[in-house]
Amino acid sequence: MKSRIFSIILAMVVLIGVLAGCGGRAGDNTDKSADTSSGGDKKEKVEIKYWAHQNEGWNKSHKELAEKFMKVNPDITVLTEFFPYDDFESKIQTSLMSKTGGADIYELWGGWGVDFSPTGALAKVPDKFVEEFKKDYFAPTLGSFEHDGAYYGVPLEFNIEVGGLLVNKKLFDEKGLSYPKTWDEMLKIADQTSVKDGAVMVMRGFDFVTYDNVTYTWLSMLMSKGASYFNEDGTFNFTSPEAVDAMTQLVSYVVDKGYTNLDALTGGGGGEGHYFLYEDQAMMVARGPWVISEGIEMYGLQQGVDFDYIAMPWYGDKIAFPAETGWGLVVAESSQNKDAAWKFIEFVMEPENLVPHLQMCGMLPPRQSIIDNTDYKERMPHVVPLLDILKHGEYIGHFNTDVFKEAINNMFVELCTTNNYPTIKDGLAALEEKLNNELILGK
Amino acid sequence: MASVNSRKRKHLAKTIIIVFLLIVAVLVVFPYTLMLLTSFRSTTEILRHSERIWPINWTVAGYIKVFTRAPFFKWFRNSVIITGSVTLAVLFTSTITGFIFAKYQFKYKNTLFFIILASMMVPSQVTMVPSFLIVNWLGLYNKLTALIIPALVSSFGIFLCKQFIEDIPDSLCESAKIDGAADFTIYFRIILPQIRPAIGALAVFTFLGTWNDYLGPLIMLSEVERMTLPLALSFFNSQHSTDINATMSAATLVMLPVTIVFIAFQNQFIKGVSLTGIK
Amino acid sequence: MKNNKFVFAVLFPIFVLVIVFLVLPLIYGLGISFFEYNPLRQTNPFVGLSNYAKLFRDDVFIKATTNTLFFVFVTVTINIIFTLTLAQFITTIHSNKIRSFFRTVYFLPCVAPMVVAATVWGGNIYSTRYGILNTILSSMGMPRVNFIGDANLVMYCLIIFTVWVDFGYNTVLFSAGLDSIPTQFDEAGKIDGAGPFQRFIYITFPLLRRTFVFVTIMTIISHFQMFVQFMVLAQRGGPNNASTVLTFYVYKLAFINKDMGYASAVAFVLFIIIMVVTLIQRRLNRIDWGY
Repeated sequence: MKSRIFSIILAMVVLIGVLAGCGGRAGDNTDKSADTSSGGDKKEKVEIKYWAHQNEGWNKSHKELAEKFMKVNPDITVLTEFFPYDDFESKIQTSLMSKTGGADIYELWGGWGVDFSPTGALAKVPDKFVEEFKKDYFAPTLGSFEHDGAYYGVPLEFNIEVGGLLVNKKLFDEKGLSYPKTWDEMLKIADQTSVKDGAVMVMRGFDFVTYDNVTYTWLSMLMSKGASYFNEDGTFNFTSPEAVDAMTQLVSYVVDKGYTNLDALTGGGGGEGHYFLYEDQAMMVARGPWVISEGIEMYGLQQGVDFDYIAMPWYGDKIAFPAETGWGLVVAESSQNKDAAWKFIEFVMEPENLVPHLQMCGMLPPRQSIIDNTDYKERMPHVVPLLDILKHGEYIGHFNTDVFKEAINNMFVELCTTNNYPTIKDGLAALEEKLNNELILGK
Repeated sequence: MASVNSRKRKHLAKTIIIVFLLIVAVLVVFPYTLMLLTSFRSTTEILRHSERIWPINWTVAGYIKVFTRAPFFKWFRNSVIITGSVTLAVLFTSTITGFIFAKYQFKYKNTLFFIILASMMVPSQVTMVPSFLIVNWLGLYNKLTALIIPALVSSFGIFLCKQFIEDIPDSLCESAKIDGAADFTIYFRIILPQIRPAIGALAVFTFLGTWNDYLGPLIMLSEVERMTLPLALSFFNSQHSTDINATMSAATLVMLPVTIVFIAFQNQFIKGVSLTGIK
Repeated sequence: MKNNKFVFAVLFPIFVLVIVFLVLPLIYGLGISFFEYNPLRQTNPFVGLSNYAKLFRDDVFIKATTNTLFFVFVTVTINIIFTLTLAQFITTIHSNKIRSFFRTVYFLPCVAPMVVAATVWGGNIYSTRYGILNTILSSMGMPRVNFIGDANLVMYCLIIFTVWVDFGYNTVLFSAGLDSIPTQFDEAGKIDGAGPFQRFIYITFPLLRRTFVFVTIMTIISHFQMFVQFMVLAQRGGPNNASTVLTFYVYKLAFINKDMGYASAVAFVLFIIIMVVTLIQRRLNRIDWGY
């Protein structure tokens, strides 16, 4: 017995030793390269880390960008690393705190920028970028990267979650339907096609229920009727007749009409609506243009054959919608290689590099000059209907959009599934009070 | 006549009990069986034929994906390094500290032992924020040592070992001392062999707790290559969906090593656990 | 024995570690809870007790607290009744091999990483599309149910999962406790004509009381600390915070909402709750349970 325990312990020690040895060697490698960069004898070799979130199509493009850049700049090595989206924000936060365990460049979601920009953990964007910002960039793309007149991030995209409608071409053809041109036509098609089996949707006629889309569909509906979700003093106003009407519509689409269900918000359903569309279980899905690359990359489908991406009709007669700052690039203030990092970002932002990246990620350009760029239009003919509406986008507001969307989503789920509030307006009044306290008055 | 009846009744009761226990056993194994079977089905097959359990077309694509798209061996290595060092270290620190508290007289003994007892009551979930800040401040963030150094000492382990060592008669140690044995020799030659069951129990607890730890690595490690096995499962979740086939393959692979260890040492596991309940 | 040099040489490094990694975090955490604390910022203002005052106005905190208490109470009750029954059943088996077979199988979920079990249950058991429960429901012609996505159901799903994943542990403990009871007590009961149920209530249970108290308290404490299933199986405390418990809320506040001061205040409340339970255990332990 004794010798047995002893031999187990011995085996463990040996195993750990061997494994740690392998690890040690790997660690040594990175140490050496770090040494040469700081020592810098002959050729100064700089290594910068670039962290982004996981997405097959996007990651391919990030890697290509890094390789292209390293060819032009052999003295700089760009190491890319990709993280599951769910853990990414907290990884950025903790690694920025650590000052050593993090990256030099992060792909940062604009909505998080509101929290990160004022902390001093991000490096200020150099002046040469700022000049371009003022000339050429759309206001919503910069909004949350700004703090006290300085900028802390370079926007990669114009994030838009409204205005585009993903449609299943195959099903439309099978059923002999044509794409909707008005809101009412859209609802009519949804009415005809939606099929439900208990808590599960067999066919989603019109899906707008995701973390982002409930908020954006609702706000753009009320804005297209000429209303605003802000009072003049900057507080939220969710109880205008237009806001109540729009929410009433959305709740009825789920509860009475059954166009879709709440699975994408509440979980357990196995994914968001556009995946169902790609599996021929949804007709129309309101979503940003980034969904296209997922259909092509993950499902191997063809645009124009299996699905199409068309302009979504507007609820009111005005084109108006909110937009939050989308993905951008930021540099850590604690980075030892800020110059190299900005050099890389500058490289990424050059139209000849940015346009293919936007294409791969299915993103809209953050700057007017790329919209006018014929290369971009040729590469992405399907987003042309969206390009014209970008100028109507208004910055969503300077607050944490995750808190904002989560509160709206929770209220939406509550209104759909409970009788906690006698009327929709009561629910919206509670939401208004909550968000005013948390996001506006608390500041 | 009556005795025959009662024997029959007894027999029936026994059968019912066995059947009940077997049903529970099946319910325990069933989800893992599902996991194993699902890991051999492509994601499309899972979605299209959700009514089936048995794979139509067996595929190892999920496993290939785990090994090629993710640094699985590095995660495995990280888990082994962390768990191995923590377990060995805890065995050593707990036994020797338990020895000292059980057999030595010194100043402030009670106060010091009270600190150990008190710290036993503070679960790591309560102190995750300050622990993270301390680890970060020490420059350990995103290093495997961030999970090793804070875990070198276990107050539970010290407590357990002290309880067991107190049962060893003082005379054994005293006579060794008179024979001129050094303190460390007494610890190594006399104490350790006597408390083997406690060491086994402590090894089991420490091994399981460290190997299966999810929150610690989630907070303390950032880079993908530094991750440990329990974090591997969320690796195949993208922003909007889950690759169920790859996730189940990863789940099977994560489960495999610990299951092998468990089956190899099942008696030690069960004995170790029972021991802490009695003490 | 005495040997101050040896004692010091061992205890000094041990206590450095204990102080830095076990004692300091508690004090540090309490300290942070008086600040509006985000370590990314250069300045973090002292806010006194306002983080604690905020607790009472925070619906999510109140929900998380009631969720936690409900979860612990129901899960532990089911767990104890179930494992005690199983242990009693196992002891009636004479074959040592079969006994240890059941103990080993039941212990399997305690050995495997909980995150594996949570993922498997989320994907293969509860899921609306390919979960086995919904496959059964729909094959019987009944409508499918979104178990995890329904705010009214999710907590019960988590309770069932937690009992499943954790019952092996207590079964082993109870069955060891039962094995250590001398059989002559039970025999005496038989001779007096007591039925098996009566013998359990009047003879076995009182003799098992010490183990029972220990197991119950340890189970309560460990259930207050559960985290994985609320993060992985219930998809981050949703829907509408129906499955948010205190541990998950602390994580969310600190590492997602970046509000470490307030997170520490919530953590301190959790600490107080666990502390109270522990003190009750120590009080009960002092009572003499001797046969």
